[in-house]
Amino acid sequence: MKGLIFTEFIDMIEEKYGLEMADYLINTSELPSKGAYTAVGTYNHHELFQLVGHLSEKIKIPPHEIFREFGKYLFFVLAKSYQDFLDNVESAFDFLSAFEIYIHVEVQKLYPDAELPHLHTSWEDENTLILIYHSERKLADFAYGLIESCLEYYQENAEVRMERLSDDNSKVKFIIKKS
Amino acid sequence: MEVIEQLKRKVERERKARKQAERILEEKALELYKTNLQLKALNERLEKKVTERTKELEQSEARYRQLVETAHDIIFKSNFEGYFTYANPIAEEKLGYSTEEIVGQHFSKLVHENHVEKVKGFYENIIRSQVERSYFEFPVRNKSGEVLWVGQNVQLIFENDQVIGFTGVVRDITRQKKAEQELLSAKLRLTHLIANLQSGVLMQDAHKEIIVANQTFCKMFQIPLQPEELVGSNCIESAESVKDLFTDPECFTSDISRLLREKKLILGDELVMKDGRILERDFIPIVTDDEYIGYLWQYRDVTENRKAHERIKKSEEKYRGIIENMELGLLEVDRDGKITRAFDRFCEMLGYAPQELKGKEAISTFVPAKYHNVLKKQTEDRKLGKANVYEVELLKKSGEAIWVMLSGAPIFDEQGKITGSIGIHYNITRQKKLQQALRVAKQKAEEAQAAEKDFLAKMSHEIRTPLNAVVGMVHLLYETPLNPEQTEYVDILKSASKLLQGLINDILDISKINAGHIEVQKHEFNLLELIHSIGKIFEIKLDNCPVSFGVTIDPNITKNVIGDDLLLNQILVNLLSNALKFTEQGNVTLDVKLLEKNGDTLLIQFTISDTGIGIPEEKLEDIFKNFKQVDREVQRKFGGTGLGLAIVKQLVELQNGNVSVSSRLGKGSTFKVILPYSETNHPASNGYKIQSVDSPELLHNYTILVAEDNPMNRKYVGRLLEKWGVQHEFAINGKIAIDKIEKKKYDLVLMDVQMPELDGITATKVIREKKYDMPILALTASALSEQVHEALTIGMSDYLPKPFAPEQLKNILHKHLLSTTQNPASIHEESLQFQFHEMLDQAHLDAIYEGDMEYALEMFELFFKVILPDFEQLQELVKLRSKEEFRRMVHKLKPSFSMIGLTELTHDMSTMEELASAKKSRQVLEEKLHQIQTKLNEYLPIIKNELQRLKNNPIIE
Repeated sequence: MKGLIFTEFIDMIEEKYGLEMADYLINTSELPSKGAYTAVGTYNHHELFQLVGHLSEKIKIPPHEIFREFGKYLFFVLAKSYQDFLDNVESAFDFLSAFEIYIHVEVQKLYPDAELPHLHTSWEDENTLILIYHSERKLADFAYGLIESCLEYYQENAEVRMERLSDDNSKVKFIIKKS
Repeated sequence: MEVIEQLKRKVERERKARKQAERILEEKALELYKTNLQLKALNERLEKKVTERTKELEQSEARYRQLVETAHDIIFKSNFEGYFTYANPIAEEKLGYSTEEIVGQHFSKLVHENHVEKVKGFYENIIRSQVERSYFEFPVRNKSGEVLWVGQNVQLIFENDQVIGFTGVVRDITRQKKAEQELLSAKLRLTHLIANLQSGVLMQDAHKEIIVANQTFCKMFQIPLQPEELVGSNCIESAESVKDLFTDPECFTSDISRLLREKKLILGDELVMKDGRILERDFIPIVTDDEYIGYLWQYRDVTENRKAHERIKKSEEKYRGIIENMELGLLEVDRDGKITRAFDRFCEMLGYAPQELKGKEAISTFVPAKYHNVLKKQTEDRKLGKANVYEVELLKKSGEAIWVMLSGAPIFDEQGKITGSIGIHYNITRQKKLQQALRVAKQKAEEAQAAEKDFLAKMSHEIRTPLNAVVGMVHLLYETPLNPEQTEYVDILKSASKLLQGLINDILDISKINAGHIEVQKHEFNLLELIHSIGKIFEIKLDNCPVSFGVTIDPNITKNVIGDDLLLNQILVNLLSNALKFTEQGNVTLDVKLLEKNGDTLLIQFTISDTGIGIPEEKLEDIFKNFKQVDREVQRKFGGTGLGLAIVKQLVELQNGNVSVSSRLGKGSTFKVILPYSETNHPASNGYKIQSVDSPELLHNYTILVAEDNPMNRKYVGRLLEKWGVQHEFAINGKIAIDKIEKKKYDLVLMDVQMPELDGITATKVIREKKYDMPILALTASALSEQVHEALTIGMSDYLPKPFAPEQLKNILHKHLLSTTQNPASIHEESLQFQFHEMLDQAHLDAIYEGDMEYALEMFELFFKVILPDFEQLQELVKLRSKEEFRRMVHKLKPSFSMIGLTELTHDMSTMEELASAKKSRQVLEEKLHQIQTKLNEYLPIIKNELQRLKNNPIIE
């Protein structure tokens, strides 16, 4: 998992819960990296799950909500860094539809070792976009948050609903409906 | 404090992360540097490679170009729009267009007009679906318009992912196409044939797999499948599935296995099915190059045939039974003539027991040796399938011979092969005996008839000759000085002898008729002349009588007719004599009328009417019967035999005619005779040939030879001739007559037919052979005699029936002597004759036209209209290389010259024809033709003049 995720997660913890919490989580978790994250590095995703797990225990919020919250947070961080990608697209729906063949292709070029989730989009009707998320990382809630922020970024008047397609959250369906 | 620790840890983490990042970046930079180096090296290699490859490409292109140029297939390139940009030289050879003509041309100009759209569609399709390589077939037209089928491999040419054109390899597949089509149609035909066969057909390959079956096959074996569905299945399994249809299922399948093992052609195996059907099976192995490539099974339903055979067999047995009961003996033998079955009736016929005959050779057992050849010939005929009926003798067991009528016929088995023959014997021994007796009887009867005929002929002569003398002497007596008493005696003598003469004639005639000795002798004669001569005779007879006589003839009778003039003469003379006999005053008439004309057939009615005593009505029926007269009083008063009318009736009926009578007592009778004749084209001259005999002195200058053996007749004739001042000599037989004729010229010969030494007929033949042409008149016993016909046939000019009256002799002498000389009486007739120009062949012309100047005119006209123009053609025909046409024309024209009297030119033409046949040179033929032409030119004015004269001739109107 790209180092950017980890650095941004630690930044978010420090920002929302203070340096103490970040220090606590790093010390409590058994991290091979000892929590020394750099954006250009690559780390085991279990480290993120440990960090989220311990945060959940501490602040009594279920991990999936933490992931969703992190997704929301991260979108705006990325939006700032990669403004160009977003400005080329007119709507959230276009962005999401093109994600797999557009964003992921480019990511893969930059980071040949990146392990990306599979996204599949289709229109159910002219107002409803279906997005199937499929990843062994089981970060569907993280994706949920990203989508929500995306809609917000483009100021779409739309709702998003998540349906599980597998028990372990490796495959889910997002129903994004214009309202 | 805690915060400071936390910050320290954070800084530591940050430091570690930075180091980590720096390391990563360092690695990345190094990696980048190395990659850069590699890229540089690669770039250098690439440049070198490009140079190399460019060179290689150039070489390879040259190679390909050569390949393309020398390929056997047309190779082309075209742009995206379909215009050719390149074509190899083979295109010129195949299509007749030069490569220059092709380049720039649109492909649709070459494609067969009916396929342009299809080919366009094809190109559109491969462009749309970006099919790089594709193949398709279509017909094209070469420069001379002939159609070729081509198969084309097309490859798309791309540039920047865009199709910019095509390359194609085109192969001439006309022959393959043709073969394919032929194969297809042959296959279609065969499939159709097999499907429609009345036999069930199944064909399998060497691996027992079914290749073909037809509907009949499926139906026959009750297979609920379409024939196509059977294809591919195993034939042994199929056999298993249908075997229960057969009475012996195991035998059916094992048979099939055995046949497939033995691989031998087997025809006509019979299979019986449980439902009663009978199938006939042929097994035909199909061999090619000594290899079995499959097997053909053919099944035919022969149930109906077999049933019919059974029925026939049963009915045959039935008929044999019937025949046996009809006294017909049946015997069956095999092909070698050995008895296979002897039926009871046959055994009875020959007195054998059936078991004694069975197995024996028929010929040696009961056929007499003299018939062995007949029987052997019959046996051969039987083998050829012929049936015959013949009669033969057979020997009974007792040795006695019987005659049988044998009807032999071949016996066929169910396959139509001859297995032997059957003979039906009918005992005809009794009939044979009867036949023999009949033959003997017939022979006797014929002998008797011949004797009778001979007797009649002799009697006729023997009786008439002395009677003739009596009559003759009576006539001579009148010439001597007689006192009244003597005159009265001579009168009685005369009438008595006449009566006797009539009686004898009648009796002889009726017996001849009854004996069937009278035959109708048909030949051409002049009816008008005959009627006139009869009329003349009766006119003379009626001279000094109170009865007038008249003859009327239908003017529509204008031509000679074919029929028997002698019989007609006899009929009319009889009826007229009869009429005169019973008519004391008033008149007797003879009316001749053309009743009906149907093609050549004329029905002529002769009506003889009198005003005599008439016949009572109740007697009318009887008058034509033999020996019937009206009544005794009539017989006493008028005499006669009563045979006259009976003879008339029989003579009329003999000629398919009809005679009837109507009468009123005291008023008169009318007899009507209707006779059929055939008309000829020869006009009948209307003239009286018989001259009135008032001037016997005209005969003074003639010398006549009288050949007569009877001295009394000689005296009678001699006396008459002396009286008329005719010079005459006698011969007492034919031989002397000939001698005399050879020594001296006679104007006429009177020839008795029957004479000793050499009879009159033979003598006349000799005289005619020696080319003496004076008239020879036959003196015969009877007008009805066959002798008259014979006499006229062999060259006698006329006949005089004995006995004859002086006037009859005088008439006939006048007729033959005076009509041929420059007698004043005939000058008038003579002057009417047309005389041809003396330069022409008069004799020939007279002979061919016989006075028919209308005919002559026709021929002369024809000569100018047709023959002359044809003759002029010869001038052209002679110039032709082949002389055949010329010769044919000469041959055709040749006889026409003698028809106009130029006999000489006909001969010349003959010579020319021979020259042409001998293929003489043109010069020779032209010379001859010129010679003929010159002669013809000399004659032409004469011929023209003759034609004019013929046209003006008063005879022709």
